[in-house]
Amino acid sequence: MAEHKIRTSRNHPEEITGREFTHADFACGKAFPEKRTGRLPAMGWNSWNAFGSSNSEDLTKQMADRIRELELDRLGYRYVVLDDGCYRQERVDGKLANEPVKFPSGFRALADYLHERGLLFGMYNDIGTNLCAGAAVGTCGFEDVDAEIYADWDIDFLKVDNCYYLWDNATFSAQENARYTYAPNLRGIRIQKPGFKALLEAAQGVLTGNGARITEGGYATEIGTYDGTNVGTTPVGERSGELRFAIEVPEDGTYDLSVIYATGARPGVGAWLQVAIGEEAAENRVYDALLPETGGEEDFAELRLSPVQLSKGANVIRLMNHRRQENTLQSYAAMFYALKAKSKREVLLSICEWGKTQPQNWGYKVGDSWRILNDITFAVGSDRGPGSAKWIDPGTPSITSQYDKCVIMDEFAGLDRGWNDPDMMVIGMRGITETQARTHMNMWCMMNAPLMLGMDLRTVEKGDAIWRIIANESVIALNQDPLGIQAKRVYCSLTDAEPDLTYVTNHDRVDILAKPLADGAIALCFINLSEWEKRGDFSVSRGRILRMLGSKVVNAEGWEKAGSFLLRDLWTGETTRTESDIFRVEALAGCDSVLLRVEIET
Amino acid sequence: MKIGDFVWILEHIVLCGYRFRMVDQYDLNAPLLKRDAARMLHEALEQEYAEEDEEDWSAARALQDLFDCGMCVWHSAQMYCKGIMPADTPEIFGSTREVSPEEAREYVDRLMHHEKRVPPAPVQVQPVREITLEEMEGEILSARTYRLIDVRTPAEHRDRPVKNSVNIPMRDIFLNPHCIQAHLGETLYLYCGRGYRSGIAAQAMMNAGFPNVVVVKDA
Repeated sequence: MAEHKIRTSRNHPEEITGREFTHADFACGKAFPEKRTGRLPAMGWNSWNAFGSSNSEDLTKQMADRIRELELDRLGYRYVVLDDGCYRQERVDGKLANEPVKFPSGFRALADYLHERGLLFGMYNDIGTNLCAGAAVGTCGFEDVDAEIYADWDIDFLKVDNCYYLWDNATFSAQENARYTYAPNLRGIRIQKPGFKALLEAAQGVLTGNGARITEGGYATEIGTYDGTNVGTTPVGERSGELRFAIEVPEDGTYDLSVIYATGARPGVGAWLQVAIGEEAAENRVYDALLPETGGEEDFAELRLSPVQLSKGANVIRLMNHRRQENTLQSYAAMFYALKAKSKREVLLSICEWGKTQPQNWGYKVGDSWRILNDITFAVGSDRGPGSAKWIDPGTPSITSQYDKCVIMDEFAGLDRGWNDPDMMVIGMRGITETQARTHMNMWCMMNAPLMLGMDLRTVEKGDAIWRIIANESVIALNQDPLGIQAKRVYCSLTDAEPDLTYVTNHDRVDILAKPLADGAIALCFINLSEWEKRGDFSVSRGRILRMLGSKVVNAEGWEKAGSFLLRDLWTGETTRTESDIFRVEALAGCDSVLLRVEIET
Repeated sequence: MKIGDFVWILEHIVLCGYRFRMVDQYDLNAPLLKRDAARMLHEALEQEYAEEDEEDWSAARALQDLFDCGMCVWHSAQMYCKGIMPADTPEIFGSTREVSPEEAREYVDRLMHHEKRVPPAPVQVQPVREITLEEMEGEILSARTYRLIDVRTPAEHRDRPVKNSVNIPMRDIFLNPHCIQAHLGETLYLYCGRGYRSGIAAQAMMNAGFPNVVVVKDA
């Protein structure tokens, strides 16, 4: 086990000191031993969608009061999270400090105010050097110092962004930082020893994973990890590419290894190379560093690396760059360990690098949730009024864009891992109808997403349309069901093949989600993604549900044998009894959904 | 130009002597980048005039560098769509470059005088045209940015490749139009031999919000 790093460097990417930080170990599925698992998705309120940078101490206290008046805390909404815009622009004596005009009493006082009212206190930071709004108070290099002050401020939750990150071309970072997260263009490798020589060209290697390719010019390029920030790229499957060589050598021994390469500093072509001998299960990384720059991306040079040990017979040599994921994991791990060391309270870690580095693969090791895309809206509110949001958008800012990706990520989530985070809710923003708000709530609850409200709660009254949506106890109960299983898409009207894994962004469709619950029931949600009414046979059979959910279903045997079912609509309250084992909806208004709790009748 | 200097201009000219309420959020000694100017102008516009945002910001979607930053997309898109801050090129707003004092004064002038604003033309969704490969060769010589996508199966693409094309089968585009990862300002040429499959793919792309899609087929 590696020593716990609690301070990252601003001069170079972290050295990887333990296998648990490497891509080779991502599939192990085990969180770091210090991480508390078994937590259901967080619920609460976050200042960003509601007030943007005009959040303030006064507004936050008013929101806390409203949460109690609206009895939202009783329903589970307890985290009150201050997003960006609350620190001084610069550290004071190296420490984080409150913005004095907006937060005059400081954060400890605010934490006390919340804790006295049975609420929990969340804050926000960034693994880079600056926060997204610009304040030069990012945690890079200051994790221990920041964890100490967060402990003084008694926080319960920390959302951590990745703007201005030094070791990748993240938001606001230099594009050239991609030199760290992409391998150079590779023409080949040379292995030799007295009496043995072999030159292996790229085309003689095998590309594994996804993303890398061999050009017409005969070299391998785009060896790195897909950037997951924008819509369109699936989160499922291997998201990195490697160039793999198989080589036979006549005897055990030390061989010279050199690599023929050309560097770049942009997404697709970088300068950082990782070389491993052997397969991932037992790899030996023999090189993991920047290579000296060459004159250009097609200006190849040959460099001798340190000699390597090879065994007589077949050997595998892999050239790759998993640093996009590994650098980011190390940075979040630094914050995780620092908080663990300093905080008396349990602090939830909300990873917010927008899905860029495929956090669904590694986030579970240190975090409680991971954002999967860029923001759900860019038009956030202020103290002058609500912002706006959309149902459909060509980019990430819409309910359906976030849903499309999250809905095929159910296998990445769980009680022993953490949760996919399709961003905070936009209920209460302009541009969202009541139907859309209700379907949005259904989606986020079925998908075990964190439920973070983002409206000015002073505009909500108990019993009004918005309150009835966010306060529906039986729908919230799905999100907070103790079995902790994210719904699976068991039907998609556009594709029969693997509806649970196919990334579909064509919104002219109906989806059906199935979620097994702890008490043996199954929740079914029928969703019309389009803005127009749809009529048809939107159905799923008991057999298909059981086949796709498999051993996740409690009392699967009962389900197989059941001759009749009770269906309760969680919005109308209506209960129907049926002997048909095909669950069907024949019409759905635009953006509408039907949510049923299905029990077997005994 | 420094941010502090720009704040001075905002406070004395736009805000009639009142304090810019967001001033504490800025490092006054830092250079004024275009994205900072966009945010500050947007905030000042709201503070002084309570001017409504443009609901239709589709014209800004062609600006590729806008979306590098979730924080400032909205402010830059609004300043662009209102005609207060022009883009550097049709594809690049110029988010991260420094603003000159002359430009800064010009932005403020446009903010305060509606008749001086020059809003960009709204995005015209082009009807889907059908052209031949030869006609396409002629068009792309003067095209700003374009992509040629072969929507046939991988086997067909291998057997009879089309120069400079990327193979993304129609089925993939139909299910996930965004898999092409194109910028909204690009012209997308979709090829398939007879035009039938590329027609389906084109429709899916249009529905997903891509405004410039052309069906390409053999002569």
